[in-house]
Amino acid sequence: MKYSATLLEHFYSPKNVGVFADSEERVGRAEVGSFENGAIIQFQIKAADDIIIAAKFRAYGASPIIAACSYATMWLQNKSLSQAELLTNLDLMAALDIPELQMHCSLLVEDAVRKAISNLKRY
Amino acid sequence: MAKPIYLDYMATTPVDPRVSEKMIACLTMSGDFGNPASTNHQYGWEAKELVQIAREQVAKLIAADEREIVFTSGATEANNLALKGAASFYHRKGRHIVTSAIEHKSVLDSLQYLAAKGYEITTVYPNKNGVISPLEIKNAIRSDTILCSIMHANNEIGTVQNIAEIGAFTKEQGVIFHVDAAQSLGKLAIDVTKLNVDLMSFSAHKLYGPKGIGALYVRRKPRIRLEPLIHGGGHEFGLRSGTLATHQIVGFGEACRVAQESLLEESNRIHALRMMLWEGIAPLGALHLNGDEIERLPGNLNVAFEYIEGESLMLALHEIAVSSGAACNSATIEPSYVLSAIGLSNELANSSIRFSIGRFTSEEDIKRTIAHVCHVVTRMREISPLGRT
Repeated sequence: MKYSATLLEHFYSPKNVGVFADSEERVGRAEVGSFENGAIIQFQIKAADDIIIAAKFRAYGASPIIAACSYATMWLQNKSLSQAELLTNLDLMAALDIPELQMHCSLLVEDAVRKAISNLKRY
Repeated sequence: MAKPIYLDYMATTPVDPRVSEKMIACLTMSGDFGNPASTNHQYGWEAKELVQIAREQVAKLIAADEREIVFTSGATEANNLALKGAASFYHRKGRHIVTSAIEHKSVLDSLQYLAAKGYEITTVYPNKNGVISPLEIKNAIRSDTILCSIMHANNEIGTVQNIAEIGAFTKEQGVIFHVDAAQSLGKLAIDVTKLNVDLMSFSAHKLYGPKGIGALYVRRKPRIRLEPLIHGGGHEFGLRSGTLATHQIVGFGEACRVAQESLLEESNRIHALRMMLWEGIAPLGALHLNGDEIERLPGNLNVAFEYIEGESLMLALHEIAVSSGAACNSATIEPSYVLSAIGLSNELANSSIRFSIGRFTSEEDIKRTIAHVCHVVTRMREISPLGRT
């Protein structure tokens, strides 16, 4: 499978891997996917007022998932929650040149981001 | 950027320089380019002589008679010829065939073809280490069984079967015993009589010979008959027509000669390297060795790495050339049927990597591989949400 340079960069040096401490406030947390389906994403977003100041992820899954998560954590920084909600899998596919065959990877990442934002809104 | 360290010797091997030298001498005008079937002139006689020598070299490696060697385009063709050839010839005697679930696709697909033609196939499953029970084979044999096909060493997990014992059972029941030895020739000592085999398939490119040439051993005493697949000239005792590719055959013969010379020493060296690799990565923990620990090809190491998805693991291991436990050619990743047959879950199968060590693997290669694998697995497990208490 031939991946784009951007995708590979995010795969080999993923940004913001990890989780926020349980005690940290104003963190939206989400977990999507399943082991049986071959992909699990933990995605977390920290906000101050309405602005996202940091995001973190952990992922078990194919390379585009890890790369797209890393990319998303960067993209989300300094976005407002309403801006963040506009992120779709198609944006991820375009930004990283994810092959059509692996579109489902980008859908799971979009799902993870959405759920994290939604979880954040409980505050 | 430097090429990755080659650890995929069970997929294919580079041609040994001694082999390529012999082959090149058979190509051009100044070499032995003649058609071995040209009985009227020196060009033909010389080519024929070289083929004869090669035939003897192949036969010697398996303690067979040179008239029992039929050259083919590879083990795939040899498997096709053995199965379809025997089934067709003996179809009046019976239409039942026994095999295992972990055979190579060229065996399984050929048998599937025969099943569609009305033959009945019984498939025996291995235990969780990939070992086929000779007793289970014995019990599967019926009065109408004509053929049994079990591979010597499995290409994915390297498990070596007890061929001699299985062969003893097939022999006493009058069943023809075919063994796919594509992965074992040149690595394990083979004596076709001691192993009780009637038909045996070989592939040159698995033992530092060229791709595109192999052979089928066909027992003469008692004589095993086959219906040929390819007609046209009656070459190879009427079993496989087509002008003999002198350069390919000479290469195969030389590869066998070299293997015969170095088999024991090389097996020991490669085995030591494999142990070194395993001991080097074992401290990572959460690893599963796929296949039997003892009854295993010296150079094969098949390991499942927990908590890391297979495709990302393969991509991350870019400094080494290995094979994965999945067929990554579709959106849904299909796990290997061999790993499934030994009871591995889909997830573990997809997270499995096959390392295969060979003649040109150095200790330095193994050290660098250990460092790379440990680095990659640690990194990927840091990214993974799994395996955390």
